[in-house]
Amino acid sequence: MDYILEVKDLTKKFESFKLDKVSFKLEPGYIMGFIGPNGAGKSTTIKLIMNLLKKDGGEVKVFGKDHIQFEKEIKNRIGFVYDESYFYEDLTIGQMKSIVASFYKGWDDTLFNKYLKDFDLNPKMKIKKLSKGMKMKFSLALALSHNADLIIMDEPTSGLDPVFRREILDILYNVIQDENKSIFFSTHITTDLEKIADYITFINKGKIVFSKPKDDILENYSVVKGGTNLLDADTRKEFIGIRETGVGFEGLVENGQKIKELFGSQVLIEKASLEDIMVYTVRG
Amino acid sequence: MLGLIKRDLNLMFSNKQNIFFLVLYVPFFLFMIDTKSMPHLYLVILVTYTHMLTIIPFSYDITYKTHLMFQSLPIKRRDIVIYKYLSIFIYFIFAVVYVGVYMWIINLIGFKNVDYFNVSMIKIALPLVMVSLSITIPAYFRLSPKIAQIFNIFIYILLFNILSININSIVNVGTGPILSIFKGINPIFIALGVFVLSIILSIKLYETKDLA
Repeated sequence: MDYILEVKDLTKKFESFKLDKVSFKLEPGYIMGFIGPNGAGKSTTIKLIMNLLKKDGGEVKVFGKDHIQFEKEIKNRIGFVYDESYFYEDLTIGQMKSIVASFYKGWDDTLFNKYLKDFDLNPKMKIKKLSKGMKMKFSLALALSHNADLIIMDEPTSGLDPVFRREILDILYNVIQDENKSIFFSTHITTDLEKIADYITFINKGKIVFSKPKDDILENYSVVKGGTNLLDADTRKEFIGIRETGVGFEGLVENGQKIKELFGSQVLIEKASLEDIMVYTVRG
Repeated sequence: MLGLIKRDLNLMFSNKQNIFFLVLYVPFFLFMIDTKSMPHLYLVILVTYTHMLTIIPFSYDITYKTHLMFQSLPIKRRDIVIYKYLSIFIYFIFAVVYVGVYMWIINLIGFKNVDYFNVSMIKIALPLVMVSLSITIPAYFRLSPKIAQIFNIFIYILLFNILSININSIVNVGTGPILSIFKGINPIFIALGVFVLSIILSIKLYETKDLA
């Protein structure tokens, strides 16, 4: 199998944080959501893939090639969108585009102008005058205008209102209609991923919790609700995380069937959302 | 490299502070400093312009963290370093032309009688900026931006003092106590040596740096 992105045992140590043997794979034509709480290691992983940070160990292959040895060739085929605007704010959209375009072999001005029109962006506008949402759209226009095969996005929807977020998700959905393109999308807004992602990779405290197809995850994980009288040392072990209140408990389990056999009709079992999975896993 | 040149030129002419610097620096020197007390004013202006214009693009990375965006484009870190050093010559030529035209106009108007083109001063200015920037640039490629900026200010003040106080050591290599060891060696060869070592050092430093 040829993977578009392959990360194996990626390790990076900081004074107070360690990215510990992170591994996952992304096939062409799919969207992978990269979820985790703030400080879990999402941005660090992306910076390592983009060779902005130097890895201490492990391997990163993009389009089957080493990301450092073939850095220039690989980056020609990657479109990137970061959580903040790292543009020269004194320049206009047109000037910034002209700088960025000169680095890419496959830059398509017609496509860029189409995106500007779709996103309602004026090329004569200075970047510092753009709102956060407009800057994000501009980033996206730049990332999509050189026929990139892999789009890497670090929290692109964070801080955006639901209307902007939905627009961006629709754009990504259209991009993915080309079966050769893939999107790697980090976020802590998990509802965005429930709409568009094919795979979910969950990272917590620098370690991968799981990397699986979204449908498998949503099918396997369940939220169980019941009375606290059902909880004892043995039954607690079945839960990934439990939240107890005055009226009962709610807990996340990976195998809902086992719980059904254990508690029968004394509990209510519901499908877990990605947010449930993230919250219960992080809190424990 | 075309993209990097395009970036620097776009930035130079789209920022008000840069335009103020370009326009006001020459008259500031001419009217604030007595040309008799500083006979090599042309040299000082030439060196300052080249030094500042080469360093200014780094300041954008400090303010907007643009290096993260830039380093995500298809360009190798090594190429960015090499361009930065080559840009010294681009800015030097720009400074010679710009300062020349500016000073020529000042002469023409009759404000002050100053050099506007002096080959012997140009021959001294080039190795000087090569050395001063060879010392400064590695700091920007490795240290945190603010510390690098402080280091740059320190180097520039040192350079300015040498130019204004101990200029004869520079003009006549070998007469000053420090530079006497280089007696008989063309300054451009000394500068070239420092320049090449600095490029190698900067490449090593930048290629292993974490960009955050």
